[in-house]
Parts: sequence; C-alpha cells; structure tokens
Amino acid sequence: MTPLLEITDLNVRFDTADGAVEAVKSASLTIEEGECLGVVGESGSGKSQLFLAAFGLIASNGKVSGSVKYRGEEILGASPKRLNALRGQAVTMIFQDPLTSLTPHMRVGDQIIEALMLHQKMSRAEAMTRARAMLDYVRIPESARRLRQYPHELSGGMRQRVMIAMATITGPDLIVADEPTTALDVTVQAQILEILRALKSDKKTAIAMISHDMGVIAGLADRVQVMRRGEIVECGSADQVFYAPRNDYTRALLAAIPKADETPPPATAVGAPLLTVDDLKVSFPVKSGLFAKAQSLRAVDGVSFTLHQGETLGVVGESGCGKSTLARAVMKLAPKTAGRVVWLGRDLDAATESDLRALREDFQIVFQDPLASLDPRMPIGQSIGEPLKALEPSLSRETVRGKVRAAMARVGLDPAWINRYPHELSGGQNQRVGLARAMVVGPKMLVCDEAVSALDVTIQAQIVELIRSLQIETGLSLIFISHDLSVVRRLSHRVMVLYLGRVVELAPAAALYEEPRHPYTRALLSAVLSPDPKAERARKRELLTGDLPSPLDPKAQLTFLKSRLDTPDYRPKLVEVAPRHFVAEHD
Amino acid sequence: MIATGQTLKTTQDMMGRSLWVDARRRLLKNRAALAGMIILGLIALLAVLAPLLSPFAYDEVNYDIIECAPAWWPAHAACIASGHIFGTDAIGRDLFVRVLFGARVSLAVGLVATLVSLLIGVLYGAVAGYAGGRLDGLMMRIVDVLYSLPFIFFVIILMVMFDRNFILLFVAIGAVEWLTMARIVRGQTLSIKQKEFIEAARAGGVGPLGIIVRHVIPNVVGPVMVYVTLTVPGVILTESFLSFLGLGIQEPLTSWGVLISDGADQMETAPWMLLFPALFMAVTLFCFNFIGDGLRDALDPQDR
Repeated sequence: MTPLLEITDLNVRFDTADGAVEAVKSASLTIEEGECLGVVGESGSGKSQLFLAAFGLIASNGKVSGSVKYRGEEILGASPKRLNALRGQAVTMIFQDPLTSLTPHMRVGDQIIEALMLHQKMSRAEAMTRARAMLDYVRIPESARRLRQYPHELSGGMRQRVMIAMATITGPDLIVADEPTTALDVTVQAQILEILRALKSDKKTAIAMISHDMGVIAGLADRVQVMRRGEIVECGSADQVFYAPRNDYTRALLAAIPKADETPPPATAVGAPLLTVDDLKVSFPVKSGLFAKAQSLRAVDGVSFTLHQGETLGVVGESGCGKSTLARAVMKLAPKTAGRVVWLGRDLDAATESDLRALREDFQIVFQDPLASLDPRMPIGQSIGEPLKALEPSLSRETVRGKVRAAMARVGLDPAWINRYPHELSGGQNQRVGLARAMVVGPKMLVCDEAVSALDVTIQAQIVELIRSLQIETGLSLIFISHDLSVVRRLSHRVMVLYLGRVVELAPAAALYEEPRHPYTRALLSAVLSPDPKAERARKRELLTGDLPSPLDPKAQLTFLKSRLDTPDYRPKLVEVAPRHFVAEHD
Repeated sequence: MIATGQTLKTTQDMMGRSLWVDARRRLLKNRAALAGMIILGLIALLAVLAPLLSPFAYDEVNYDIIECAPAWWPAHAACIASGHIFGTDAIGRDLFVRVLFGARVSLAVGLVATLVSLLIGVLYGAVAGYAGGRLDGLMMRIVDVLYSLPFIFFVIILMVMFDRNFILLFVAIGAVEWLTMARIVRGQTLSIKQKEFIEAARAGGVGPLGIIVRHVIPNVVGPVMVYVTLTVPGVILTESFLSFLGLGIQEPLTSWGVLISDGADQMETAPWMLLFPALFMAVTLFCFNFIGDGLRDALDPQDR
C-alpha cells in the first residue's frame, strides 16, 4: 500500500547574507493513513521547515530538493494551483500562535467556512451549519454565538480550537500540527490534546505532530522521529524511542526532561525570615468604553507569604493568575494597591526612592525572555556591569570589570565575550547573561520570573542546575515563578499555587505534589505530561472544562466554592489542613 | 604559544567597549559614509578658506563683466581673461567666491539648526515618553500649541522684535524643527519603555535619567537618523525661502538658496549661475544622506 505521505531525501537550504544555511539535510519519512507521527527536536532543528518545505510554504530564499509524494503523487514542485487545492482540503495545518494565524478582521465563522466554500463549492448556509457542528465537536460552548465573534474576542485555547475546527472541517487525510499547544497553559494544553486524540480515533485523520515537548508527543504519537540540526537522528515506534532510545542525543533529550516524580532539592537549613508579604493587592483600572466606568482588575488579590533565608518558594499558576504582577509588586517594580512588603524587618513602603535603589542590591530578578531583557545595543559586559555601576558608583572601572568577568565565568560564559551583543548569543547563553547581571551585585533574594520557560529542555536543565548551585553556594533565597510544575518541583522547598490572584494552596513541595488538596492544584498536576507513552495513553485526567473565568467577573473567585455563590464578595479563606500546608476553602 | 598580535588583540577585547566605540569603528568601515564625510569636510574647508582661494571679494561688483561665462564654458564666447572659474553673476561678481560664501551660511544653518532640533527634540521626546501620564500630556500639548503657530508669522514677529539678525535665523528654524523630532522620539520611547530590558535596568537600580540616556536614546537612534538626514536639506531650503522673502540673509551676503533662486531666473541666458550652486548643494545633500545611513547602520549592532 502506498503511504499517505512519503518524503524521501528532502534537503532545505537557505541563502542568507551570512552564507548558506542547511535547515534540513536529507530527511526521509513516511506517514501512513490514520497514523500520528511525532517529530521532536529543539528550536532550530529544522522540524517545522521540513513540513513547510514539503508543502511549498517555504520562504522565498529557500531551496528545496528531494521528493515528496502524497498518495504516490509527486508534489514537490507541483503547480501552485495543485498545491493550493491539496493544502486547503487534503492536508491542513495548525500553527503555534492561534492569534496570528487567524485574520483579525474576519468573523470566526467566515474564516472557518472559507475553505469549504472555496474548495467544495458549498452554499453559505450549509457551510455555516457544518462550521457550527465542527465547533461543537471541538467543544466550544455557545457555538452559534462564537461564529459571529472576531478572533480577539476569544481566549487563546478557544482560538486554537477554532484553528483545529478550520483544519478539520474539509475532512483532511493529514493534519500538520506545528507546536499546537506550546503557547497555551497546561490545563488548556491537556484539553487540546484530548481533542486531537479524539480526531485521530474518530475520524482516522493522520497527524504530523511537531513539538519540542516530549510529553506532548508521548501521549499521541504512534511513531516518533527525533531531529537535530536538520538531520533525523532517530526514528521508531513511540515505545522504542521513549523506552529504549538508540541515539545519544535522544537519550540526552529524555534525561533533560523534568520528571513529575523529581526529587526536590535537599532542604537546606532554612534561616530567618527574609521577606514577609502581607495581604498584597494589585489592581489595574480597566475601561471597556470611552464613557464606561473604570472597573478594577484585581491581578493580585490579597496574597501573604514569608520567604526564609536560603529557601526556594515556587509560584505556580496559569497565565493571567497574577504571578508576574506579584513578583513585580514585591520588588517594587510595579505599584501595589494595598498590603505590606517587609524586607528584613523594614517596611518597603517607608523607603524613599533612593533608599529603594540602594536596597535593590539585595533583591534581583531574572526575566522570561532572555533576548528581550537585554538591551540590543549594549554589549553584554556592559549590561552585566550596569547594576554594579548604578548601585556602587564608587567602584573603579577595573573593579567593575573584574567583577563582571568573575560573574561571567561563574555562570559558564567565556569572559572574553564581554564585547558581544545579545543577538550574537543563543537563548541559553543570553539567559546566563541575565543571571550574571542579577548575581553580580550579590543579592540575598533572586526572583526568577519564568526564567527557563523560553528555553529548550536540555538548556533548561542546565540553567536550573546553575541556579541551584548558585543557591547552595551563596545561600540565596529564590522565588521561582513558572507555569511548569515539574520545573518548579526541581528547585522548590515550598510551592504556592495561584488562581486569579489568590493563593489556593501553599505547602511544602513534597506534600503539594503528593497530596494536593485543592481541586485546582489537582487539575494542574494531572495536566502535566510525562515522557512515558504507556502512562500517558492509560492516563485518566481530571480536566477542567472551559476557560479560565474572567478576573473581572466577581463570581470568578468562587469557581471552586460554588456553595457560597449567593455572597459573591466572599473570598475563600486559607485553612491549615496539615502542618505548614494551607489550602483555600473549596467544596 | 599565542602570537604577539593575537595577544594584543585579545587584551584590547578584554577592556570592554561601548556601543559608541563600536559604532565609530563600523562607521569608518562604511565606504559611502566615509566618502560622504571626506567630501563634506572638503566643502567645509573650502568655505572657511574662501577669501584665500580667490583674488576677488564676494561683494566686488564689476559692471564690465555682467553674466560672463567661465573661460572654459563651451557654448559661450568667454568675455573674461582669467580668474572667474565659475563665471560671474548679474552684476559681475565672481560666482566661485560667492558659492563658497554661500556654503558658509547654508552649512551653518543646516548643521546648527539640525543639531539644535536634535538635542532639544530627542531629550524632550524621550523625557515625555518615559515619564508618561500627566507630564507627557502637558509636554505634548505644548508641542501642539507651538505646531499651530504659523511659521512665517512667527519669523516676522521675531524679526520685528529683535531686528534682523543671522543668529535669529537659527533660532527660528530650530524652534520649529524640533517639534517633529520630539514627537517621533516620544512615540519610539513609548514602545521601548514596555520592553523587558528597561525593567531589568530598573531592577538593577538604574535611575530614570540613566535609563533615558543609556537605554532609551541609543534605541531610538534609527528613526532619528533617518529624520535628521531629511531635516538638513529641509532646513537649507527653508533658509533660502526666508531669504527669498527678504527675511533671511541680506545682500551682499548670500547662501546657496539665494544663489539657486537667482540662477533659476537666469537659467536660459546664464546656466552656470544655476549649475554651480545647485551642484554644490546636491553633493552636500548626498553626503548627508550617506552619513545618515552610515550612522544608522553603525549604531545598530544587529546590522552587519
């Protein structure tokens, strides 16, 4: 039987100003009917380019050679008309960012039926009925209303479901899903994967699942290909690749993944309280129209915690739960609305602007996006030295230079690179620069705001290890913010789970991961994927249905305490259910 | 063993360079920009040395040689023996020396007015954009008010109040040109302010002034340079317009703008009167454009 898609010896080369870049080097693969092929690789491994090139979607400076056969028909170099017909109907694609892949000015319904009307010459009314059925299939509530909405009115998860609906409505044989869940929260990711799984089993659609995340692949793929630097280094059945990898790189990839049962860091002698945060609130005024009364969006709604010397507090929550706002308010980078922040017995409200600037030596922050957090026009040596110069202006240039070089060496950067610019370094190296900049002043507390989330798994593991060793060496306290529960577990002594700006659970790491009490924590934990195909297939999930409620909705806080809905201003209280284990009231 | 040259280079690299040092190195490597700077320098040198280069004075009238073509001009019979290499104008003054004297005024107006607008505009715009809120609103309304003043009216009032004065020309032009610059810089600053590296600098204890000078201004340099290269010719043309109205430079002093407008009147009978000042002006403007492009590229480390 001819396979659905057969790619033989495909090469992709880009001619750039810096010379030719070989994005894909003689890659071959086959996809059978109704099969899911997982393509794994780190950023820049050519996994997306492989499929873009196969269907003629490559940038104009790219050169493609080799052979791509769809049901035995050679499509590489086929006429644009043939390719368009193929792409619209038989082969469809889902991309990573659901906002940029939907046209902003077209209603959702019109976009979904576009392909139907174009390729299947269907009437508008008939197409709309199909679209509505499709939205129901991907579990979008109130489908009739959604069809008339614009993309920006939908949440990220909802938009990705619309994309899946668009990709499925023409009844394709093959869906190419390029990192379809990377931009989504874990609970939403689990929902989307559930839909893709259903698509594969109900409609017998073949799926090419491209991802950097082994966990995403594990639950869905029948066969797996591992790519590295444009080459396919390993391919085989999912079980073989995950349980008996033959290639060293595959082994390294698997070893770098944080396991759900990761041993937490050794409990260092926890010292005196360093930072006390008491009932912190941050709200932003939100106006919905020109004359509408401003509502206040409570990004952080009464959070209290204490951080001890040498301790790591993990802060977990989905996007929009206020974890970054919390960090910025604690560090006085954003104004708070109410509450107290006490640093070593000193109320930070009382500190003047110049006191505060001096205090910054004690607490530093590392940001999510390593490239965006460095000034593109400043050599990295200067970026690292800047806090030193600002905080200790009396230091001589030689001392600053020496300290910068020592800091660079400490984070594993070559000190000879002081004159490089951020764009000349990789993401992992830039994040090391960010760490060096934070550590150079010798802080007592370091806030890592999703500091490893934008990095590839192998790099992520290195940076986490580096942070941990810095902590052991200097007795640093950490606030480690992440949406990724497994990474948090690697570092944290205690973990705090945030939901819509409030703490729902705060407990020692072991207790939280082994005995989660709050339903939201349980849902988060069950949405974590593990690189274990058998466990993933067998897994029963506690899925949260629907999206995160709007934080503007006064009833949102009571999602897990429905019995109190008659008093919408009620806030669930934290109850100590076990020693040092606090859980918000829930039904 | 490492070769000596290698060691030297490495120690120099160890010192840490700033963006500006890197930018200068890159600017000097840019051939077009370098050529622009050399030619512009030559023109400026000629302008400064003008009295020494010609036996004639810029205001020396000679009614015997009105509108004489230069000796080497092909179509006309030369009416002068020697000396007037660019020919003479409508009242027999030497054109070569007048073009050089015109260069003094035009280059000075172009550079000084542009620098003034650059300095005020960039600082004002960066402060307004970075401060935001009420201060931003107030500063930008002031800009709006100044924008709404009719330019010519403004110049006439200045002339009436302070008498006709060369310096006043700079003030009048500079006072108008910085407004657009401030708006451009403010807009850029608003978007740069949102970037994470600004927050990182704040977390590192850098004060507002340090952030504006070290992080905001270097990052707005691209659009600013493009605007500056458009401003210089604009200012030179504005000056000639004012002179044409009798509000700018007065005879016998001259500028390229005045020479070009005079030459345009005599285009059919004495084309050299238009050709030479226009040629100098065009070359100068090309030079400014090349230098501007070079500066923009040099200040962007991602461009190679």
